[in-house]
Amino acid sequence: MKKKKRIAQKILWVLSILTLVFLWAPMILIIVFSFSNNKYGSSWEGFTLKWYVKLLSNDQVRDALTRSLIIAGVTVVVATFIGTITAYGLYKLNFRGKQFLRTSILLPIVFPSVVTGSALLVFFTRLIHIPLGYPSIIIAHIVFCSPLAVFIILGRMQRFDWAWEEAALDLGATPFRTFLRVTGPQLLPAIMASAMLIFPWSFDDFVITYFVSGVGSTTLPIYVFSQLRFGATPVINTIGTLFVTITMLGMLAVYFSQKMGNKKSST
Amino acid sequence: MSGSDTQNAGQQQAVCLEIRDVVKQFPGVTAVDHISLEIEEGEIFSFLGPSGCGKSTLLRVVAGLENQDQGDVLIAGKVVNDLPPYKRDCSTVFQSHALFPHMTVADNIGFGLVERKIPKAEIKKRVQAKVDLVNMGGMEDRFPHQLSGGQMQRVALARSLVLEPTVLLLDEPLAALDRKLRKEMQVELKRIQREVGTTFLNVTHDQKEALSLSDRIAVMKDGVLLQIGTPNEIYETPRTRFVASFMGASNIFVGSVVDSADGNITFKTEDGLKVTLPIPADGAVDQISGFSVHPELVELQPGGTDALPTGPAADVLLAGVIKEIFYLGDFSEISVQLNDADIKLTVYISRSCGEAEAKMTQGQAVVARFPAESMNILVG
Amino acid sequence: MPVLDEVPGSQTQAKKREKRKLALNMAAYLSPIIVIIVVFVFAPLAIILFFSFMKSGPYGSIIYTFTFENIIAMAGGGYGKIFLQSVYLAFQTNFLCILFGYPIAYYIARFGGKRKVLWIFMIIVPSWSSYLIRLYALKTLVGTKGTLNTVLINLGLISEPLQILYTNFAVTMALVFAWLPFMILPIYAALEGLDRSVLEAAADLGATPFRRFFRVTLPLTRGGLLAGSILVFIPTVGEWLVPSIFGGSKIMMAGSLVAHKFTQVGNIPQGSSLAIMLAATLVLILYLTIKWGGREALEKAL
Repeated sequence: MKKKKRIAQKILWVLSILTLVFLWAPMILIIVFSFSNNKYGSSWEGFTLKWYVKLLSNDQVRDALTRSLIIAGVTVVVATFIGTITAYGLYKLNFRGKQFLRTSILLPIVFPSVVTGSALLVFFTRLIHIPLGYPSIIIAHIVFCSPLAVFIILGRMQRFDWAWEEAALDLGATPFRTFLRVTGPQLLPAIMASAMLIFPWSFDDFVITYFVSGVGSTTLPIYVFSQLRFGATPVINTIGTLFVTITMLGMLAVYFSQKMGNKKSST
Repeated sequence: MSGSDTQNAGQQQAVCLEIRDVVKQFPGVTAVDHISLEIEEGEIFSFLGPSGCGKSTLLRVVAGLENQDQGDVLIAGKVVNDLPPYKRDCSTVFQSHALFPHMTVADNIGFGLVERKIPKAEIKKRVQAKVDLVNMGGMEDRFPHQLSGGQMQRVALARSLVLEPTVLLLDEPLAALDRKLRKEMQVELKRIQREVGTTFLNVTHDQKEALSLSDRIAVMKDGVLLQIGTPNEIYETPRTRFVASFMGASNIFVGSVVDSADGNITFKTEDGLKVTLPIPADGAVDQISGFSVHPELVELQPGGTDALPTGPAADVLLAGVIKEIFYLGDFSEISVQLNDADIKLTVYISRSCGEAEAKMTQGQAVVARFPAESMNILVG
Repeated sequence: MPVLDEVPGSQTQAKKREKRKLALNMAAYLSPIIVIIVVFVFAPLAIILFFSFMKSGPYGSIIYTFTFENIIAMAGGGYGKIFLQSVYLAFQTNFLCILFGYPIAYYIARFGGKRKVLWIFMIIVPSWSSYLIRLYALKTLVGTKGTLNTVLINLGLISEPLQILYTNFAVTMALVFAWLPFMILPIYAALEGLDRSVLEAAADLGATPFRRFFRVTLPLTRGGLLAGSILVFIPTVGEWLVPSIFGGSKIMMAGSLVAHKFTQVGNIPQGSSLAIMLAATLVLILYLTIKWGGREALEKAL
């Protein structure tokens, strides 16, 4: 019996490794090629950093990068804030239609991007007349990033011992000060986690941004897309590496903050 | 184990907490059903009852963490119904102690003082005083996750006491501790209370804890107050069948009064046993639902298979056979099967008993006797 | 036991006060998200629903007359077929993701040990990385002049480059590549939440590992499968980038159709009706799946 288990384990291990290879190989390739001397960025010809240097001096890229950063920055702050208070409201309050609300909050993340993108485009141009560009993009990003924050923070809340809140009230703190001194600090890890997860989501977003950005508001992903018809290029490789690195850093930051948070909040 | 100095019937103690006809309902259940009582300054008062009897709910109503549907709560003479918990002059020690994990022991204890905007130097002084009071010196900079259960409870206590509340509310504070620790903490609690003199309102389901800790006890069941009294009163003379059995009485006879004559009443148990006893002082004969006898008050006389005298007598005599003898060291527990009814009488025989009793064996015929006054009338 | 209606007037007043407090709280905490959902999700959906019944004019303008012509065009001419093809591809992708995703999820949950975090990290990063970049990377790999072909040719295994792109296979592979992590994570979460003692009890009662898996493990992880399916199936049906990058103009999916109508052709009414069809179907699927208990697993995965 034990032997069977070990065989099964080995087989699963092989399958798992293969799956990981499948998921990572293309990106590893890109990362490698971003350091390659090859003009087309499609094969290896010696190590070089020149593409990264070129990236920094490329005006279009700088422009798009700045725009992406600003949008992501604003989105993170707003979406995290909305996510926090929404999670609080959803957890504490009970009312008819709560299920419906919870499901509706899921919609922006689950719908295909073309649907939300096109719907928002039509909405912005035909109904409310929000200028296409920063306003439209930021609003759109907030719309599909807030739900993420809601669920991350809500998840953390469900593992709380809310007796702390009662204790604080009992000891003389008003609800506001309770949140300030007790609940808030406890939620901080989750809030940070959602911020660090929303940032890559907003930064990397293409489809929805493409729909609502209009002319002249190029974010980095849109720039990448416009370069795509040239096939593989070193520029895209470097940008791609940048994207992946941002995501990895974000994930690492989340992981470490969770670890620290767990230490402080275990009782 | 019995009452303490503060329990003086004649002396007028200030009432620091009054609960007036409070009702609290939840969907489908009435947790607190018209309860009224007064708690005196400086006493340790316990709500005792099984889970779900409403004691915790009542405590939370006093604290302001729940709002009652009806009735008033008065702390130090002031009605506090509309005051939120942070404005009431009472402080709660929670069962899960609820210490703030991200704050040190010192910060936890000082939490309420910060809310009262007391200057930092003063806070430090008071916190230190309470740290010493609960014997947590040297641990001020520790975090809750570095403390043991007993230590956390002490910090919680200090945190509430430092605010010098009129009433300190304790919600089963020792329930999460293991037995040995619980006993130690009981002693600690009593010592601390005597030192600071604050009124303690304690909620517990543990009879022994209530008996050893409290100056007065209120026994509750299903949201209703069954009996209030000193530990002595509750234990020696429980008023209802529930209180009797909850306090661990083992000889409870259930039945009703069937006859009354000559200042005596005849009580017949469900199993047909007939006992005669004098009419109780308050004369409420129809509410009598049973009686109890403490095992240590029953005497056993060997022999005697003759019929019992049926007339009124100073003692109740019941013939039976010894079923089981449990030797427990300082006393023996003897189970006697009565002849006239399917009842097993529990009798405690102490070590210092007579020779005849010491030699009793299983299967021996005996007569159990106890004075009528030692019978405790039960109602309800 | 006294009953609720015996209560005097002061009680109803208290209840009214509580209701008002609740309403105020709701407004304070939930108004932003409610505004977002109503104004920026429901309203736009309503708008395109409206537009799907409008006529389309020249140069992307809209003629505001009520018409069914878009719906008819959808049912007839090719669109219906494309739509069904998208659904079929989505099912296929979903199935393949389960097939490939379950083993690795199981391995990590059961045998991951101390390295569990590392494994999960390796799965989350691709799922969170730029979607566009990942697709581009995959294309670089499997294109005609791509790395795979170059390597294979250099190794002498093949003489001519494999034409992988612009085939059904490419699209399916790319879809699985894109969405696999989103299936793995919920399944993993569900497996992690399993009580080992349940499996041990099953073993104790005589079930072989095989049967244990199918009769106990699989059903208990149903929530995870459902959550993963929501995360995979719904976005896949409306895919745009994958079919356009990997299928070119030969293979169209519902998403690329919508995008096409909106951006290149500027035909809003038609695009709208397609988008609405897409949205409606997906809402239905979402609703059904959630009814079958998918939502908690979804939230757990997050």
